[in-house]
Amino acid sequence: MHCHLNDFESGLFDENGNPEIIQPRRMFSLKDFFKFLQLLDNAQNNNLPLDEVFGSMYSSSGNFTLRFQGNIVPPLSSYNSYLLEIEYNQFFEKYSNKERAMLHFIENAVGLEGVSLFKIRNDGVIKKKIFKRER
Amino acid sequence: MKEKTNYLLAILLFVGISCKSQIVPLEEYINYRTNETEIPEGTYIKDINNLLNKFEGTWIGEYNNLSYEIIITQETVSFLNIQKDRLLMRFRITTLSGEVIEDTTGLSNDSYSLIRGDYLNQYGTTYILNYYGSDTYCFQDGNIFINSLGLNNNQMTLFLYPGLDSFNQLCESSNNPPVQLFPMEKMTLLKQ
Repeated sequence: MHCHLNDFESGLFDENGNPEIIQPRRMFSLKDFFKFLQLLDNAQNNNLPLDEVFGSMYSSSGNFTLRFQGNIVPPLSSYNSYLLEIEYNQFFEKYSNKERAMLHFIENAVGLEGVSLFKIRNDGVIKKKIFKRER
Repeated sequence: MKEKTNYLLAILLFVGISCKSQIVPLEEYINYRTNETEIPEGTYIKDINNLLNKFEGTWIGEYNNLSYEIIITQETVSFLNIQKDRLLMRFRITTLSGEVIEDTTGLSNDSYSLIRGDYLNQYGTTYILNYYGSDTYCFQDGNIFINSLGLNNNQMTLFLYPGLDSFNQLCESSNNPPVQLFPMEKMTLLKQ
């Protein structure tokens, strides 16, 4: 469980005096996702129920939780993290809507079925975000 | 009648092509990013105003007793049914006595370790690239900000804003804080 910040000034400026802005993605990073996979892997190795493993991220754009309801999680070492970083960026460049980007990335790049993304609104309502296959 | 049908088909084809391909100036991409607007299928994020040209070339500088040679090129890349003009950055970092710390100048365009361009900021002055260093598991990654200066754009500033997350479970390094190859304050490079 952790938070992702809003855009913030780096403290550095361009030649016109404009601040250099850092724009964190207010969505799980690939590294966050890998941590979630690691938790699942640990649970799997210790015969613990996988659907009781959660990864949560809090931001001004929404609070999100990942949950796995599939069967088997591949070990972390089976993924090429460098390739996935490139693909992660591509999905977030194309689908600037970060919920769609995350769902497409998990489905199409990671290829892991059974991961659910939940958005918890400020009023407490929880919405499950579903991957919609493109026609 | 046949002529009419052909004419209608030609119009439909033209409309179809127009709907499928759309050019977005590179400097407007930041609005899509900020407003979380999806890039339509077939869009070409194009550097129609040649804003990337000033960054292209070989740049030399020194910082903290290290010598930097930065080589910047342009490419048009296609992914997920969109196209995009962007910069690619290769680098060679050596000590002042010539010992090579890291050299990516020989890498091909599809190498994982290349630094790839992401977006031009809202002022159109700074270009931001994604960097994944050879020790990316231990925070050696982040965004590289470059900004060209001078009357002939013959100077460039560069700094790294490190990534905020790590693959800490895969980080075997005991370096704390992590070793960064790029400065976290602005360094100045000169165009060759």
